[in-house]
Amino acid sequence: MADVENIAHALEFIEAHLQEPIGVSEMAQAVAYSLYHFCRTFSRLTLHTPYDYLMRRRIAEAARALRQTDHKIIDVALTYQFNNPETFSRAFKRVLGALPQQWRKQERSAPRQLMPPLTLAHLRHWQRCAPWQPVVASRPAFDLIGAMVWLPDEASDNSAAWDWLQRALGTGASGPFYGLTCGASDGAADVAYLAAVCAEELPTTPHGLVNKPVPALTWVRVAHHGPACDFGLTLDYLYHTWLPQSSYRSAWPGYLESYGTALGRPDAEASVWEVAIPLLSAET
Amino acid sequence: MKATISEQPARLLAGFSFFGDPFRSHGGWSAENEIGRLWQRWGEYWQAYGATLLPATEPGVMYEFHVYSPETLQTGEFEVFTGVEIAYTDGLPLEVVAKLLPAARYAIFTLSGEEIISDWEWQVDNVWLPELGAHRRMTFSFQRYDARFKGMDRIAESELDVYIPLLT
Repeated sequence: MADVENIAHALEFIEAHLQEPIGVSEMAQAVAYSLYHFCRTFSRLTLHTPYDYLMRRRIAEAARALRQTDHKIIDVALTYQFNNPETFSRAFKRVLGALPQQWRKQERSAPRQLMPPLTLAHLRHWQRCAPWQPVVASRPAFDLIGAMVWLPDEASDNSAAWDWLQRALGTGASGPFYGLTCGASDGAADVAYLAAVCAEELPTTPHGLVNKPVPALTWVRVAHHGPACDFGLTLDYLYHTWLPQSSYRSAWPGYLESYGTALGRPDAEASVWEVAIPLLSAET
Repeated sequence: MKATISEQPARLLAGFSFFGDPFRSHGGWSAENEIGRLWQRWGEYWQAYGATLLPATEPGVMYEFHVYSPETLQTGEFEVFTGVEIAYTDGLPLEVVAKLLPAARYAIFTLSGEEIISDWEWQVDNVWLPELGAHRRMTFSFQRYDARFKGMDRIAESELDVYIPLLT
């Protein structure tokens, strides 16, 4: 079996043992690698060290348990193999920016706070996009003009917005086209999606479209390679791998996609477009 | 792979070390991971100062050794050291650390070409040592690089020796 499949198997092993006292050596044994080669290979393919990944997954599931059950915090900590409340609180705060008791009191949280389990699909997609080359850059304020729709979640079909934009613009518009997704900061699943062009491309706002000012911000952008159905895997890289290892946090729950001349997300195996998420310094 | 077992004398080494998960920033064989960066720092120091300041006994031979602790099994963190064998530690520059590799009975495996970048540690534990009827001490191991090692970019032409300390 190739390394990708072996490491995917290790990810499944981790997932099945989040509540058991496993360490990196057990993960390595599960796929018949030496500890040294396992650490080297796991980090190369997942972009996390095995221990860091284990800790982040345990914190994510512990956080979920705090919201979904009334178990005592110490019991949740022990269930996820944190042997004292101090260690648990410190790790929890480092990953989620709040203490366990604070987290429990919040009814909802920003989307994409909890690290999802990585899968074989992630590893294959990340190989397709490798090497990720995130670019952090400031961008002055700009205005988008477009058609906005509410979607029940960000994976929902957004083609209605593109049809609407195309009708409003007529045949003359050639882009570049953008998709702006804005989630609710309280963690609700529904999102606003704007299919848009830059305001400077149009002399006036056509009837039926809206104007959306985007403030001056720092953004990180990467290229997504592959079909639209794998776009969530690119977002997982940005939010759960790049962001925690950077000195930034997400400025607001949303992202901007740049499609070039395509009207919306292209959906071919060889498709490429850019996605950018807005940033704040982690210290602010 | 060639294998021998032999008694080795203690070796006094001088060099640089790192503790942690060396693949935290970059996995694989990237020169950007902490092992690559350690070699880079050591190489630059050796060229600029070490070759003249240190009392090296075999200037053309470099060592990389790994020291494992109980937490290594849990977290994957361990110590990596790169350096040269020296005759004495008197006047050792502040930025250089000394390590004493203990005298012991070692299994010595000579790796060639692609073997060097394979999971040879698994082979050592699960195939090669059992074939020799030997049991390793789990606390450390080291690699000895001499003129036979041509560099990662010429791995097919390269050889290196891996030393595994054995339980007596």
